Amino acid sequence: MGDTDSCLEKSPKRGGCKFHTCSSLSSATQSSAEAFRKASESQKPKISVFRTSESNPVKHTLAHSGLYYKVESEEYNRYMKAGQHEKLHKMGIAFNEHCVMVREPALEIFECIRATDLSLPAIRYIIYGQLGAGKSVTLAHVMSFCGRLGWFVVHVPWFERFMKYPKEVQVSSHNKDRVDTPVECAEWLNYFKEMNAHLIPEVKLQHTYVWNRRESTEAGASLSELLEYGASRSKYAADVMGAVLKELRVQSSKGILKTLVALDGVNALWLPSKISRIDNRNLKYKPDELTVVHNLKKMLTNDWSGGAIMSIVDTRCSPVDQKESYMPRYLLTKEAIDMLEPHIPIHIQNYSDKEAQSCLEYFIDRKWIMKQEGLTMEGQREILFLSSQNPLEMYNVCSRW
Amino acid sequence: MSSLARYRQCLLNTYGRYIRLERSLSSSAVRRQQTVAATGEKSPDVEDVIIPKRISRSPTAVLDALASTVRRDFYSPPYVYIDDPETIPECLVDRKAYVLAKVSGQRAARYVMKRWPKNFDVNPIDPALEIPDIFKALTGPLAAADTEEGLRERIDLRLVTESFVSYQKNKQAGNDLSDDVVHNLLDLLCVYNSKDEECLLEEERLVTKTAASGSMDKIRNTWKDSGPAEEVFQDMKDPTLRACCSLIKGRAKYYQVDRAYELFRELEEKGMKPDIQTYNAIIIARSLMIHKAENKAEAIKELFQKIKGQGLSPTVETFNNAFVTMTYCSMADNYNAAVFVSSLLSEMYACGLEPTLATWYYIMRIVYRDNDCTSYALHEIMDHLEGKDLEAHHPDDLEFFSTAMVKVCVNLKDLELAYRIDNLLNYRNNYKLIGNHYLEGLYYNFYFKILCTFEQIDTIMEHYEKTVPYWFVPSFNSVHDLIEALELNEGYQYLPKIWTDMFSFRYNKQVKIMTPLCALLAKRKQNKSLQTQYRELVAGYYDIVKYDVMSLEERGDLDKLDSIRTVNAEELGYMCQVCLNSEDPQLARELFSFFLNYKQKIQGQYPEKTLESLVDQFIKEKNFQMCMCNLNDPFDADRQEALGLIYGLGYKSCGSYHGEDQITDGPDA
Amino acid sequence: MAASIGSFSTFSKWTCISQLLGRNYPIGYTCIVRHCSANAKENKKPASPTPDEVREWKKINWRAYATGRVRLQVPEDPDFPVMLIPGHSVLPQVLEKREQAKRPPMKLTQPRYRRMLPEQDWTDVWPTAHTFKWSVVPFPVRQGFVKPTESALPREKYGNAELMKIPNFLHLTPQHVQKHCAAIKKFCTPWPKALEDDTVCDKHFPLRVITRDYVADGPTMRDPRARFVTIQLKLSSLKLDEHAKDKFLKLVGDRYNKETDVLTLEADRCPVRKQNYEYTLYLLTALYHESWKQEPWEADQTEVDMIKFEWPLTTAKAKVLDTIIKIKQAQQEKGSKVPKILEDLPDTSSPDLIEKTEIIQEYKEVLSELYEHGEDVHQLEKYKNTTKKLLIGL
Repeated sequence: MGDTDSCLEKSPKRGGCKFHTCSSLSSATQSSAEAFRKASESQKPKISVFRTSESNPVKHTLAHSGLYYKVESEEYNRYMKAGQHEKLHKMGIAFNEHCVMVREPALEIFECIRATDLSLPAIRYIIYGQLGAGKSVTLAHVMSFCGRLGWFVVHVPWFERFMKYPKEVQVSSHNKDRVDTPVECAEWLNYFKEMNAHLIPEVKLQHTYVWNRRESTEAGASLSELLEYGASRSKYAADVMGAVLKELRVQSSKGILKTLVALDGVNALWLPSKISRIDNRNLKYKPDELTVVHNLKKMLTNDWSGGAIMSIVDTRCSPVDQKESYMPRYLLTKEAIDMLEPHIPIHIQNYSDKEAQSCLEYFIDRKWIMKQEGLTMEGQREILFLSSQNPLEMYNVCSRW
Repeated sequence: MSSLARYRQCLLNTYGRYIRLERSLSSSAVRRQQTVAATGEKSPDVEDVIIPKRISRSPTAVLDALASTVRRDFYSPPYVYIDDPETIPECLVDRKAYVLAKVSGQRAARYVMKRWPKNFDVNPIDPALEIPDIFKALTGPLAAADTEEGLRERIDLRLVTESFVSYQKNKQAGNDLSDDVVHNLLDLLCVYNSKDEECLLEEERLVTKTAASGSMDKIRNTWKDSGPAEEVFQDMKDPTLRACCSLIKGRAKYYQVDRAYELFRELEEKGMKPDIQTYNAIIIARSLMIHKAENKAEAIKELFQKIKGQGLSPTVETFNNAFVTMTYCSMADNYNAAVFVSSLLSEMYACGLEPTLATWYYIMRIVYRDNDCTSYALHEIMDHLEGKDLEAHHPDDLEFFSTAMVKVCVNLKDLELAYRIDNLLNYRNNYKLIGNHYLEGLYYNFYFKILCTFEQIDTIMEHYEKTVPYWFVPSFNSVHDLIEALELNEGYQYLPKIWTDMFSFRYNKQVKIMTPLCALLAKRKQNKSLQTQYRELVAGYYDIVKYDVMSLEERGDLDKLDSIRTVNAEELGYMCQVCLNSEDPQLARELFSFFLNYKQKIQGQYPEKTLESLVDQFIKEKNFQMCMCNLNDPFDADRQEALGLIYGLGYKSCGSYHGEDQITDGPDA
Repeated sequence: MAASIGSFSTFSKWTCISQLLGRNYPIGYTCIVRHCSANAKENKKPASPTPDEVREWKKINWRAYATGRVRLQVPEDPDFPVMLIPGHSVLPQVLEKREQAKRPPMKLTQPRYRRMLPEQDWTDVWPTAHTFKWSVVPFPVRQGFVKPTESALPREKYGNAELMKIPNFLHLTPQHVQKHCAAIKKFCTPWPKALEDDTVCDKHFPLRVITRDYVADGPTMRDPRARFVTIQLKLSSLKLDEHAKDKFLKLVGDRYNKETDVLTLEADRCPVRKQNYEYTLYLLTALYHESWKQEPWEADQTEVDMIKFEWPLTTAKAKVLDTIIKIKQAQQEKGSKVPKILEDLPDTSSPDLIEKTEIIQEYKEVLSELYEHGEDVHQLEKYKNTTKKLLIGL
C-alpha cells in the first residue's frame, strides 16, 4: 500500500519550495540545489516506497514492514517523546515530522499481544539488541499501539534518573529500611498522568491508603486525586507511585483495566545505585533499598494479569567492565533472570536490506543526505557499509553526507 | 559463605583423615606386561610395548658430550677476558695487570671472609667449592685444642701450626693420643714443613714465572731440623715404619738429603720395607748427595734393585724422579747422563709404564743441553706423541711444549718439527698444557723465531693473525725478527698491521722497534693505497710525538725529552721520507721544521736520503728558505759537496737578492 | 644615599654602582655591589675585581657563598648591569680558560668480526648461549626505536642495549643442532615400535611429568627453579562417574583445561624435586578418591554450585511450572483461553505431572542448550519460540 504518488508529489516539490524560500543563500548553494533537484529527478524512474500512510499502529501488518509511518504529534508527545533518544527527537524536529519505521519485531509483539488472553498472567517480553538497533523506538511503537487500544501505559524512560544523583533522598516513611527519591517520583507521577490522561478519570481506587495520622486516600477516590496528592506532597510521592502501580495491578487482574509496563534499561534495576548512603557516605545504596525499584520489581512479576510487560536490556546501563555483550542473560543478573523466567526475548537487529534502503530514501526525502555522492548507488553502498546498517549509525553517518 | 566454598572447605578438612584405597588410577601396558610375566597369562588387548633399557650415564655425561663438540677457535680471546675490543688487554703489562687485578680481588674477598666469618653462610648441602682454605676460615675447628678430637679436626682442616700447638696442649694435659692421630699429624708436618704457607691462587700462577725446576740454584735445604716434625718423631716411643717413611719423605722434599738417607739406611738395617714413595724420595735425595753422573747412575740402579727386591714395582714417579736427578748433572757430565737416560727409558718401557710429558721434558733438557746438539730425540718423541690427547699430572708436564719449541729453534732449526709440535699443541684439548703466560710467551717467541727464519712472509703473517694479540704478545726480539722477516720478504702490505699492533703493545717507545719500522716504511715508494696508509700512520705518530714534545715544552721540561724517549732523528727523517713518497710535501715540511725546532734535544742522526729528497722537494717548490735552513747545519764532508751543488743550482734558479743574502749569511762553506 | 651606604663600616670599600652609572635605586635598597675602579668608569668596561677584593667579599658573604646561592660571574655590559639582589648577588670574575692540548687518541684494534674468514666454523666461535657481542657477530644488524619524525635508521649493533636485552639464538644454528645431536645420539635408544601413535602413547602412558634442569656457570650448581614439578593427565584416563567428575572438576578448578581435557597439577612447595613429585602424585590420588566419596552435605547443593545446567535445581523450572499452574488457575477461575498445548492438561495437575509434558521437556531442552552453548541470537530465538508456544500458543 505504498503511496507512491504522494511520495513523488511530496519530495521534489517540497524540496523545491524549501530552496526557493531561502533566497538569501549564496549562488553556490543554489546551484548545488539545482543539481540536487536534477539528480533526484533523474532518479525518478525508480519507484521509492518508504512511507505508509497508515498512522494507526493497531492497523500495522507485515505489509507495512520496512515503511515509515508518521506519528501524530499528539501521540508522539504522549508516548514517544520522553523515551526517545535525544538524536531522534532532534531528527524529528529537523524533519518537521516524527516518523517511525514499522519493523518486524514490533509486529511480532503486536501479534503476541493480540493473541494473548489477558486474563492469563502477564507475559514478560525482553527486548535486546545492539546499541542503536532501535529498541527504544520499538518500545515506543508498542506503547503507542497499546495506547491506541486503550491500555494504561506505565513507562519509565530511563532508570538512571532515579538511581544516579537524584535531587533529594529521604528515608521512606513506609519502611525505614528503604529510601525515597521524592522529586523524581513526583515528576514521574506527572508524566504518568499526562501519558494516560484520557484513561485516568474513569479509574477509581480499590484500596485505602493511609499516609499519616491525618492524611489518607480512601477507596473509591479517583486515581487523579491520588496522582495530584502525590504530585503535591512530594514526601509521599514514592509511596503514591507504589500505590498507583498497585492499583493498576489489582484492577488489571480483575479485568477492569489493561496495563502495559514499559521499562527501558531494566537491567539497571539490579545494579547498585550511585546514591551515597545517608548514614555512610562511602557506600552506595543497593537497588532493593530504593522504594522505586522495589515497587517496579513488583510490576515485573507475573502475579498479575491483564497486561503485558515490555522491558529493554541495554548495555548503557551496565558498568564499564560489563559491556562486552548485549545478550539479556549477560546483562541481567541471575536474580533478574529468575524473576523474569519465562519470558519472550525479542531481538532487534540492524536494518535488513529493505529497511536500510527505506531508511536511505527517507533521509533523501527529508534532505538529510545533502551531497551528490549520497544519491548515487556507490554512495549509498558506502553509507550502508560504514554504518553496517545500524539505525543509529546510519543516522550518524548520513549526518555527514 | 556460599555452598561451594563450604564444600571446598569440607574437602580440605577431610584430607587429614584420608585413607588410601586400592583403586588403580590408570592402566599401563608395561605393568600389565610385568603382571603377565608374573602370572603367566596374557591380557587380550595388550600390545607388546617393549621399552629398551636406559643407557646409564653419569650426571654430566650429556654436558660432556655437548662440550666435546666445541673446538678451539683461534681468533677468539681466552675465556678469562671479557670479549669486547675495549676490554681485552693487548700488551704484556696489561695482561699481567688484568690477571693480578683479578687475583687481588680474590684475595680481598678471602680476607673479608677470614676477617668476618660470621657474616657468611656455608650451606652444607651445596657441593663444596674448590677453595677449602676459605672454609677453613668459615668453619673453624669446633673442638677444643687440648682434646684429641680437636687435634683431629685441626689436622683435617690442614692448620699446621695450630695442630702442632694442639698436640703440645694435649701432651701437657696428659692425653693419650691414638697412633693414628699422631701419624696423621706427622704426615701433615712433614708435607708442609711445619709451616702454614699461603699458596698461590690459581690465576696468580699464570703470571708467576716458575723457576726452571731442577735447576741447582733452587735446591736449598729448608727442612726444619729441630722443628715440630722432628719433635713429634722424637716423642714417638717406638717409631713405626709409616712414621719413618713420612719423615724420610718430608726431609727429602725439603732437601735435608743427608738425614733422609741416614734414616733410610736405618730402616734398611732394621729390615723394614719402606713403600714406593719413600724410594721415590730417596732417589732424589741420594743422587743429590753424589756429584758425578756415573755415580748417580750407579746409585739409582742400586735403588731400583732394592725396589725390585722388596717386591714393589716402580711407578712413573719413580722414573721421573730418576730423570730429574740426571738433570742435576753438570754440563761436563752431560754425556754420561744422556747415556743413562736412554737406558732408564727402555727400563721404563720394560716396566710397562708410559712416559709422561715431564719425562720427555727431562730427557730434552738432558739431551739438548748443549746448544749444538742435533740429536733426533725430539723427532722420536714427536712420533710417539703425535695425535694423542695429553694430560698433565705434574707441574713439570707443562714445561714440555715451551722447552720443545726452544730446542727446535735453538738446536734443531727444523721447521717441520716446529709445525708438528704446534699441531700437537692445538690438537683438541691439548692447549691447556701450554702452561702459564711466561711459558706460553716463550713457546711463541721461539716459534715465531723459527718461522721468521724459514718461512714466507704470508705464512708468517697467517700464524701471526691467529695468535696475536690474544694468545701471544711478541717480545722485543720477536718483533725484531718479524721486522727483519718483513724486510727480507718484502712484506710491505703487512706493515700497517704491524705498526698498529706496536702501538697496541705499547712498543712505540722502543728505539729498537720503531726505528727499523720507520726505516721500512720509508724504504720504498709503494703503490698508492698502501702509501696513503703509510701516510696515515705517520701522521698519527707525528700527532702523538708532537703532543708529547709540546706538553713537555709547555711545562718547561724540555730537557727531559731524552728520558721519556719520544722519537729520534732517524725516525723523523723516515717519516719525512714517507710523506714525500706519498706526495704530501706539506706534512713533510711540517715534520722537517719540527725536527729543526727541537734539533738540539733530539738524538740521532737525520738520514741522508731524506735530506736529499727534501732538498729536491724544496728546489721543486722553490722554497729556498727551507733549503738553506737545511744546509746551514754543520754536516759532514759528503754533504758539503752536495751543498755546493745545491748552492749553484739555487743561485742559478733564483738569482736574486734574496738568494744572495742567504748565501752570505751562511757558514764558511 | 651614598652616605647611607658609606656609613656602613663593613661596606666601606664599596660604592654604589648606581652612582657610578648615574642611576638611582630606591632608598632602603641595600645591596652588595662590586667595586668599580676609576679606570673602569672611564672605559665603560667593568674591571674584574682584584683577588683581595674577592677575598674580602667572600669573607663577608661566606654564608651565602657556601650555600651556593651566589655565583661569580662576569657582567657583560655596563649599560645593562646585572641586577644585584640581596643574598643572591653576583660578583664578577673572569674565568680563565686554558688552552689545553688534547692527547691524540690511541687507536683500538679492529673488532674481531673484521678478521673472520667466511669459511670459519660458527659453532666454534659461538658455542654456548651468550649475550649479544657486537664485536663478534659478523653481520650488520640494527635494532631500536626511531621516532617517525626523524628520518634516521635504527641504531647499529655497536653498544646496542636493545640487542643485548633480547635473547639471541646464535648458539642454536642448524650446524650447532646437528653437532649436538650427533654427540648425544649415543645416549639414545630406539623408540618402541608399538608407540607410534599419540593415542597409543596416551593409553599406555597417561601421566606426563615435566621437570626442568638448569645449567649455569656460577659458584653453585643448585638452582631453586629446578624443584618445580608439573604433572599432566587426561581426565578421560581416570574412572569417574558423573558425580565424581563434577566434584573433581570443582576441586580442581582452573587446573583443568576443558578444550584439551588435560588436568595440570604443579607443585613447588617442597625444596627438593623428588618431594614435589611425590606430592603431586599424592595430590592426584587424594583428588581421585575424594571425588568418589559422597558427603552428606553435598545434598545441600543449589543451582549456584553447579557447573552444568541441572534442570531440577534451577529456579527456571520452578518459575515455569508456577506460571503454568497460574495459567491453569486462570483457566479454571476465569475461563480464559489457554494456549493449545496446555489445554489438555488437567486443571489441578501437580508440578511433577506438568513437568512430564512435552512442552516442558522442550523448554528444558532449550534452556539447557542455552546454558551449554552460550547465549547467542540463535539459541535465544529457539527459546523464544518455545516460550511463545507455551505462553501464547503461537
